[in-house]
Amino acid sequence: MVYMQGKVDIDKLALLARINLSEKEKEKLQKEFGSILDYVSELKKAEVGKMSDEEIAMAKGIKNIAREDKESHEAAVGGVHVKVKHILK
Amino acid sequence: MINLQNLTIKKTKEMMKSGEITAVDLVSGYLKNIKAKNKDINAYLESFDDALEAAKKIDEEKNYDKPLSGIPFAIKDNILIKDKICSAGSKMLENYKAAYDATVIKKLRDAGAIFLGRTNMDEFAMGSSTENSAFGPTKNPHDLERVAGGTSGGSAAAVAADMALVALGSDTGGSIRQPAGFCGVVGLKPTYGVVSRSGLIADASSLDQIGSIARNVEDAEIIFNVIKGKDEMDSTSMELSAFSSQPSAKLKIGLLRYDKKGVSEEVEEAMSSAVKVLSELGHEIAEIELPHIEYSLPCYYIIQPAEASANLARFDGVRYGLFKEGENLLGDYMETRSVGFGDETKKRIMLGTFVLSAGYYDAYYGKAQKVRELIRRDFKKVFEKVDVILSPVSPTSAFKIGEKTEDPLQMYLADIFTVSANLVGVPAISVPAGKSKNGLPIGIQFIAPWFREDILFNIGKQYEQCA
Repeated sequence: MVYMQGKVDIDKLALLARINLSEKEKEKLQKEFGSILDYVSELKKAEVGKMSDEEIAMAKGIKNIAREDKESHEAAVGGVHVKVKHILK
Repeated sequence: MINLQNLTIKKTKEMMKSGEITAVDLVSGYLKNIKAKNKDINAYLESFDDALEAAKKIDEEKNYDKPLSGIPFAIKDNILIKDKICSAGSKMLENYKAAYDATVIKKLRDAGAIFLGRTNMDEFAMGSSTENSAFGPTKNPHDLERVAGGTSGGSAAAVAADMALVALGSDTGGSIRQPAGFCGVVGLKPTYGVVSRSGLIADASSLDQIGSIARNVEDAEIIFNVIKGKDEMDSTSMELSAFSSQPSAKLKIGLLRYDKKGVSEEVEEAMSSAVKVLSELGHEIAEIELPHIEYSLPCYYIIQPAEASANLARFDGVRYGLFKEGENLLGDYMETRSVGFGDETKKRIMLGTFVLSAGYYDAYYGKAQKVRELIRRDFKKVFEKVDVILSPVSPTSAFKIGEKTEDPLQMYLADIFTVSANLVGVPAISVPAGKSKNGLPIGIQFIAPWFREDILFNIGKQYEQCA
């Protein structure tokens, strides 16, 4: 758990976020996190009832879109080597 | 020497066509202004030497017939221009050169536009004042001790200080409208999906939208008409059907009821006189309520950091920009991100990581998505009764540099009137509405239903002619 008794485990969170933080930065974040989390926790008061994910209009119909796979690569195997185009100039 | 004050796209194009000025005159004039003013204002991170060559080419070919022939643009530094550095205001991408043109840049280029340079912004478009730029804050041209607003502060200041005729910005929670309001220019955030985001460095993908910053509503409209449209490189983009934008119809305007606490007297005065002007124009004005609007800011400051933390995961020293060596591969990531990102960016990534982490996802991110849906329904309901909503852009005029940097919540509150349009995806425009006693611009905001930018242009033009 990264949040215990009103305190955020900044070290754990920094590791998850892949950021090295100095002691000074940790101290400042610990303080600011408290007030920001208090503020955004206002949302808990909002009555959303029993809203299912399907009822969220902006989440409806979202799907991954990939380009059509129509231009296939040239054959790249030549003898015992794999040949590819130059990618660096 | 041409007078760059009070130029518009239409007027500039007429002057070029009639031979009164050339594109070279115009571009030289702006470059001269940039040289003279930028050290004080810091609107540009770089001006482009090849702008003059592009102008020369237009003059030689006498090609003044395209929609934006010879029109000089300032471009926010998170929109890719091929072979130019695109830093997103960050040390992480300080030397990153764009490999391709963003779709909007391609469209502007095809329309004959000239790019003067790239403008300053809050790092990765997170902030409300441009103070989070790794390259120093942009100053407000009306008072150099004050912020230009943010995150597109550089673009708004450039237009306000005659360092560009028009500009592009991006708006995730008010980043076009708020700096436009602070600098006394017009700023448009289009409907989500109407302008392609391909080639925009992502901040929060479900909120981001590119839009125009200009001296008047007509210019903002001309630019919008060039950059809009479906793009196969952005699967959320779509075509906008045509509406008439002739400013004739009498509209029903919904005056947003809001908590007056924290809203300055001068903003209140600007709102009252706007209401007066609009009713004298014959529009019907009724107070409206968006019952869940009080949740829009907490909702925004969950969704935005969540999406940004995911989008910014790609900056780890491997693929883009800065690389700092650590003890092992994980160390490489952690060291690169520690050195490359500024304080606010780190904070938002940490916040986003928190609200998405196991055990908190449902309580924060999941809840925010549901509240976002409630806010969307509020807007939908209100737009059954009114054509357009009127509200302030920001609770105050431009604040002093450093005034809010120590208190993140105070800074976040600067976005209170703008974030809801991004959360629900509707278009909104910020229009100048006079000045405060100490000469600082104040803006008002019109918000229209989805895909009805035409209503914003209609009411915006009517208002600016009378204000």
